[in-house]
Amino acid sequence: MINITKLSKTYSKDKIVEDLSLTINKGQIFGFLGPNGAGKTTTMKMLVGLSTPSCGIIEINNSSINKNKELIGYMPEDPYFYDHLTAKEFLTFMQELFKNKTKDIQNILKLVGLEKAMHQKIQEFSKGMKQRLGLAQAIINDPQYLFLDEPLDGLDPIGRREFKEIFLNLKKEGKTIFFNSHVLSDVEEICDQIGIINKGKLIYSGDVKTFCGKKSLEDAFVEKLINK
Amino acid sequence: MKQIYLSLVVAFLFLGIVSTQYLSDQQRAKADYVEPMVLRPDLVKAVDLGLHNAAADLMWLGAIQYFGGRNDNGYPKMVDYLNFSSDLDPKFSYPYAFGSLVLPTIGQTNQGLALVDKAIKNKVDDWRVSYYAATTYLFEKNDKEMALKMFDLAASTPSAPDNIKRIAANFGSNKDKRSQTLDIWKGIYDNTKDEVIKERAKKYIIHFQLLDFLSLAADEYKKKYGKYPANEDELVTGKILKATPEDPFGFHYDFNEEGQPKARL
Amino acid sequence: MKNILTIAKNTFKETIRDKILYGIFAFALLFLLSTIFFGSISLGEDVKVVKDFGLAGIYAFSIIITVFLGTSLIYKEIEKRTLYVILSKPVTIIQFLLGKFFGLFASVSLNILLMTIVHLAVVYFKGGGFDYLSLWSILLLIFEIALFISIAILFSTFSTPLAGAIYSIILLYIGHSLGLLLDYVKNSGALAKFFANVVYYILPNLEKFNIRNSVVHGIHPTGSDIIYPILYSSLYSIILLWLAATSLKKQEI
Repeated sequence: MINITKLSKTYSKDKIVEDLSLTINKGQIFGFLGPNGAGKTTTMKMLVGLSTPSCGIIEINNSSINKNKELIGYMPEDPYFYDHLTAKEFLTFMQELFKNKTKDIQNILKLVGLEKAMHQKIQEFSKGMKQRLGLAQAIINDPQYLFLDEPLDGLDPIGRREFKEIFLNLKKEGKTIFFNSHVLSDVEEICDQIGIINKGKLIYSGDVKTFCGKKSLEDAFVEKLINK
Repeated sequence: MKQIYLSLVVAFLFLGIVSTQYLSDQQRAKADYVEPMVLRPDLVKAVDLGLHNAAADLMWLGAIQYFGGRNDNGYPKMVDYLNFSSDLDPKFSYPYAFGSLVLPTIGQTNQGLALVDKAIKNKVDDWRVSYYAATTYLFEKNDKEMALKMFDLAASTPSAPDNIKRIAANFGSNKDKRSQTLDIWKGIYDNTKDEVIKERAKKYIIHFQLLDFLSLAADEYKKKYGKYPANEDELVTGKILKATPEDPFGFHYDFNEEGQPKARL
Repeated sequence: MKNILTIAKNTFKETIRDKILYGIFAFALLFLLSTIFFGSISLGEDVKVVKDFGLAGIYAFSIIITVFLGTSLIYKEIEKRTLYVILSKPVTIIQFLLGKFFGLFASVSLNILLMTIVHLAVVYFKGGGFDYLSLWSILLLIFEIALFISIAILFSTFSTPLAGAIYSIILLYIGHSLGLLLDYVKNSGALAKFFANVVYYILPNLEKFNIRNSVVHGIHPTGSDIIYPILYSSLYSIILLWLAATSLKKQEI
């Protein structure tokens, strides 16, 4: 379970995230939505321990972030890697940073559709391939909690379908996925719960279907933002 | 077709580049000669990142190039070059030695010997410095006392080759002065790879060998004609020699009453 | 500990495959081989000139390599956000920095060793025998480079590679002139002397690592000539890397 209590982040008087409170139960796919600049990425950085909150508490599995890094996987927005390493070398590198046993690299690459590129240098990868590698390094340690920032960005429709299947399978295995997106149709398809953030404040959190009602998620979302 | 036009244009442009460079060089060559500026040692030390030896070597290479260049001025900057090298690398022994032997040939004997004093002060342990200094004291300044001191110093330097030690140790004690001086120069000639120094030594060796040769020729003349010749021309007319030998320093010789060759001043 | 080794291994791989490195190294080799020519026009002082230019060349080129690779080391990680990928794993900032340091240090040291082999071959070929004394000079060079890498890494945590390069080069010149600074104030008042002494002790004194000039004349370095600089480099690098970690931490907030 992920417990976020009154999370805030202030950068020299700018309130990027204000008083955010959320609970995400285990085994859920949670979509975090909001317009550009709303504070999604900042929130995620705090969740994975890359940024220190100005105030508020984050608990994953009932303990603080830094003790839990073995259990989480993170995929940043628009991932970049080391140009001169091959996919295999890079994943081996990531693998070696974990104490616990990790998954087999070849299987992971197969899962994300990069098996053929195993020995290819990353500087030759296309954007879609980099996204796939980004997911691969996030799941290399078989994490219980996955934090993904715009994971479907830059993927073609086939890639998006493949990723969504992977997420659903991971959910079946009992993993919890928290992801940022502004592609609402994808969110509608796979998420159980959503949270909507606007100008640093949480304006909705709860069930997807309840939020949509009879409308599409996109319509409901835009309406909510205009009204608020 | 387009390729050919393009290549022609490029070739033409390149020709233009070559000719403008050539013409500008021609103009430069006509301009007045300017003596090179030798950098100040203390300034270089401040900016050379501690690479003093390399800086000294560069200046030494510069000195060699300078010495091999135009000589109508008497190389006024030579001393500056040599002082630079020895300031930046006090233990770099060769500039001291080179200076002591070569500066006298361009009329800067005292500057040459000043370098030797500097070497001694910096405790430079190279037999060539004191040996070459001794040679200069002997032949340029006619200062037998200093020459003896320097030869002593050379003889006591552990790294000196054996024949040098012998020559230096025996200086002054050998009765045959000419063979001794010949030996001194042979010592230099045999122990250097430096073309400039070798040339100088060779001149002296030929010169002294010439003196020996003339002396023997004079003895032959006496055997034939009952008296010594007055000068070298008489050796030729007396059919002892085919021609007067060429002295590397350009001297011509008369003979004294004992039949010893004496340079005509 | 294992994390440091892992990151070091990967930093080594990344840096050693950088094309710029090959370019600089090629120039270095050309230079070292050209010293043969310079020696031959030195009127019999071949071996000395070859040794001096060789050691000077190795120094200059290792500094160039360090500046090129070191000043962009951390900057690239921040720019490309690879830093975030790593820090989201169970790795601390200190482990990360130490890993980057040792990785780059290994790369540059490898290059130094290769250049040294070429230099020794050139000296041998010129009739100077096996120049084992120069190895002491190379040992101190490696420790000077370690210190210089720490400087470059510190700058690369908060400046662009170009600015970091400029700062590093300035510090390089200052580092070699600190002794001259003290000489300069010898005849000045107490205040000037005090200020000069403060500067002298705080800024990194790179001349301490320089035994090139005496080694070429066959003068053996003493124990303290070797031990003190090694100690100095280690302690100073630790301080600089700690400062770099602080600088990185500050940026996260």
